[in-house]
Amino acid sequence: MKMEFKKLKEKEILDFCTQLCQPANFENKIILFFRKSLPSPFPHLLGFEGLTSLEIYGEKVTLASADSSYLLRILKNNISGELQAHLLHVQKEKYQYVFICLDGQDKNYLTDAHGRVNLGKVDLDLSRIKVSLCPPSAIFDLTKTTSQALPRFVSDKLNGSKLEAEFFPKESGQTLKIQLTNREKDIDIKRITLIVDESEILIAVPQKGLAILELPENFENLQINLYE
Amino acid sequence: MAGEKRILLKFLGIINNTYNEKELEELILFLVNLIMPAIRKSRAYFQLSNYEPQDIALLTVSTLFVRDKNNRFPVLERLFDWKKIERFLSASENDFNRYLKNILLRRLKQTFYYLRSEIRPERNKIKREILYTIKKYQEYQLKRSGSRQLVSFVPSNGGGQNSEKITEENSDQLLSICLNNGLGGLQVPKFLKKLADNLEKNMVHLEISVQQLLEIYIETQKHYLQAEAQQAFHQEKRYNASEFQTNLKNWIKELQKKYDLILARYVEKDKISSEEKEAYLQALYDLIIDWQDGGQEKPLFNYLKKYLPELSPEDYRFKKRRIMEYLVRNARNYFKNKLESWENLNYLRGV
Repeated sequence: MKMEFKKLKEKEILDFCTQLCQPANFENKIILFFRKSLPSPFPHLLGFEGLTSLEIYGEKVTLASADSSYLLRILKNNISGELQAHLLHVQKEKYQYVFICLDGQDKNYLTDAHGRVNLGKVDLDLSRIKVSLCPPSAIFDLTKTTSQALPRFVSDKLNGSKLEAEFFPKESGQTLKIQLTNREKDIDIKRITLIVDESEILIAVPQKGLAILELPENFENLQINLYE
Repeated sequence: MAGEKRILLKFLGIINNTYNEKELEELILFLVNLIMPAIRKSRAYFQLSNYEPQDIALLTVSTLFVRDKNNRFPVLERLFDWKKIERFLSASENDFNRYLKNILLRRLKQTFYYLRSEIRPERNKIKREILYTIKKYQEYQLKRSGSRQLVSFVPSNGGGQNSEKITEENSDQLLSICLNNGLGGLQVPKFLKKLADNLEKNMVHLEISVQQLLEIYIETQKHYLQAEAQQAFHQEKRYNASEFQTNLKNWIKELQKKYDLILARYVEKDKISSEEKEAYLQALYDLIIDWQDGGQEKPLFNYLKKYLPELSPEDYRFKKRRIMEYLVRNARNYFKNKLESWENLNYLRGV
């Protein structure tokens, strides 16, 4: 019995280590499908405008969600050879800071405030690529003095949940302890992102809905996104 | 390759962004297992509501593995920059192991500090241990007064007429004794042994309830935990650069003077020539500069050879190495002591 318990604990530790180093296996996943775009009605337009025939950006693939509310365009920078993804949605909460998961990649990509993300020079067969998205399930805004926050944006599942924040001063910067309260027990928060003044981003793997993050020295506003 | 060096290379891989998932997983697992014994030990006295020991370990370790938008680990990279890795690659495994343990234990204390509102001492367990220890130690007596159990301590010579007596009413004095004499962080048997020694030394009578003694024990441990966590922050803080630089210059001057005298004595005794004396002083100065700049960069032989070009490795091994290593060891201890006393001074000043 004791051995089994010990093994269980070891398994928990192993699972956690796997979570920390592997891309998150999000539950709140939106799968994207290939979208056939119509050819441009003005194929000769570039020539008319006197631009060179070399296109810096070549569109490689366009994907959309089943309800067509999300559109993801993957472009290739023909000069640097890097791929860039652009995510579109009518609501900014749905394209800002969204995890993009590409099958077969050892990491997930997080879009910026404009819905863009640089995928780098990844070796992908774009004609067969499988892509899914994980938008934030809840978004909280914090200031230096906030101790409790209600979500600015929240999914139905996390409705009613609160975020408790505690700041611990350090000689250089501060440490922030954040914990989600009032949540249902079966909701598993896979990732917490902290966006500092819309520029710096930290991604933490929470333990029992709790995360401890080291903040930079000077900051004004913090945005905390939770992902299931 | 032995364990710790392998781990060190994994850190190097993370810093250079050349790691794979498997290596990262191994590293995380290694760190978790390294702090588990310390957590289990503390668990005998403090339980955190909702948190199992492995939760505390994972929480502590996960703070190191927070990623930034470039998928890198800023905290880890700060703690293990390439200069430290380089230094530890040439140092002994024990040095690296010690450094790693220090970092993790410091972070563990911080985790306890962050979760301090959730600390729930295991009162019944501690009380049982107090009773067991008191019955075992002859210094204490256990009495019953109505429904209460009282612990009493009488100094061996009776304490005299003017000796102080601590009872329930002034039990805060007992807490002061515990805090002032560093009884925090001790398990019950050692705590009670040290307490008895202090009461004996100060000729203090004691008569309080077991319950009150339990509360004092818990308070002492809580204070210790918080003080330790604050000290951990203190250790991590950046120094007041200008004051530090001025002090450092003075310490170096002081050390050079000291070594000038020691080496002059060696010259008098014909142990070294005056040229060699200058070479030792210059080599040590170079080494100190490197220490400031991240650490020793080459073998001690090379430092000395720069000023004694004719020096052969054999000559160094048979005649010079012992002196050089003696000077380096003393210099290291000298700076360590100076730094510690300066840090303590700053701590007292509340800087």
